[in-house]
Amino acid sequence: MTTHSDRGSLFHSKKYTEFATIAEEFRQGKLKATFILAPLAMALRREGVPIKIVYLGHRDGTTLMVHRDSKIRTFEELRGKTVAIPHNYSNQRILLAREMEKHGMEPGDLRLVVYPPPEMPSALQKRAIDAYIVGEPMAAKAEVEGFGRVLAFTKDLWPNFISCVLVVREDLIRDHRALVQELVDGIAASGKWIDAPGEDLTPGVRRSGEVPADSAGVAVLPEGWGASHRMQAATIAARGEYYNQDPELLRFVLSKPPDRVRYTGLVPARGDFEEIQRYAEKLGYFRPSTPADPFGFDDYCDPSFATGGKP
Amino acid sequence: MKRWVGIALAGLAVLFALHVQLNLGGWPRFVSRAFHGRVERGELVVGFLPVT
Repeated sequence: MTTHSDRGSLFHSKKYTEFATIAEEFRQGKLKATFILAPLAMALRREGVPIKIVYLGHRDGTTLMVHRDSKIRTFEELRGKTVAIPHNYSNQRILLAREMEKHGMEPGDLRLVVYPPPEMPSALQKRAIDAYIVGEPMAAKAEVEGFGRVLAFTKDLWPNFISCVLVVREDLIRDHRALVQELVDGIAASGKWIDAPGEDLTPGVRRSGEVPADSAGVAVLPEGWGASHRMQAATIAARGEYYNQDPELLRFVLSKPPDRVRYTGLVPARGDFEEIQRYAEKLGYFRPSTPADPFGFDDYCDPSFATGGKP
Repeated sequence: MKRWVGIALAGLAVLFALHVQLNLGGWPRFVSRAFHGRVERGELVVGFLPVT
């Protein structure tokens, strides 16, 4: 693996444990590019932070989990229960609101609590919460470890669900447009690569038994995994500097089912975001758009990078 | 002794002023580039949470 792109630029990933910290560093300008929850990005823009959503992180890939021994089998049976969400400005909270509307439930029918995603599985195991909804792999972790059961995949509740998006500060776009384009191109290429057929090894990945003497920085495919691009991606993502998880968990997320999370179709689309905005305003994430104080897709989104720089 | 304490305090004051100025962007570009120059050198830090 290399942090240098094909064009020679250097991209460093910086791992966080909660979205609130990312938001604060973005406000202060300490961070200029990040993946963050889509509605939180919109809220930041509404409060005046000069940012733009330039690409999506993925589609789907969020799951609603209950305890394996829970009697909850349908969404309606969550009535009166405690459900953990990753942030008050999350799309997961919006999804719950959408489902509650569909099932004739009132806003107070679910007790929502905010948990950092890494703490959700253990909270479910201890029965401190009745359910949680979060992006992978924190949902699958409960399933793989045997105490969690999938109540619903978001792909079945809200097809093409958006959770995290790639956001950059406007000064970065203004002063280093080519670097932003390179970042988006790289992410787009990675998404296409993940689902492309073939077992050609990407740089930095080796099959078990073929590991060089100096194996630092090499991701080794476990025995018996095969070498499909998804399996290579699972091996890379499991590393300490990224997800820092058991590779088997990432393998599970990327394969069971195969469309649990998707990395194509990631161009920000106006219709998708306008629906998110409607719910976000209704839930009070930010002040609603009005004729006197308009706010819309063109304020918080710049899809030009997703089309290769062409408007 | 008092002289050394005075010098140390003056040094701390300069460092504090430097910190404030750099964060406010008030220094010449070549100075701020030394401290904030990663983007100019074609480097970018991208934040993420290890969750989709």
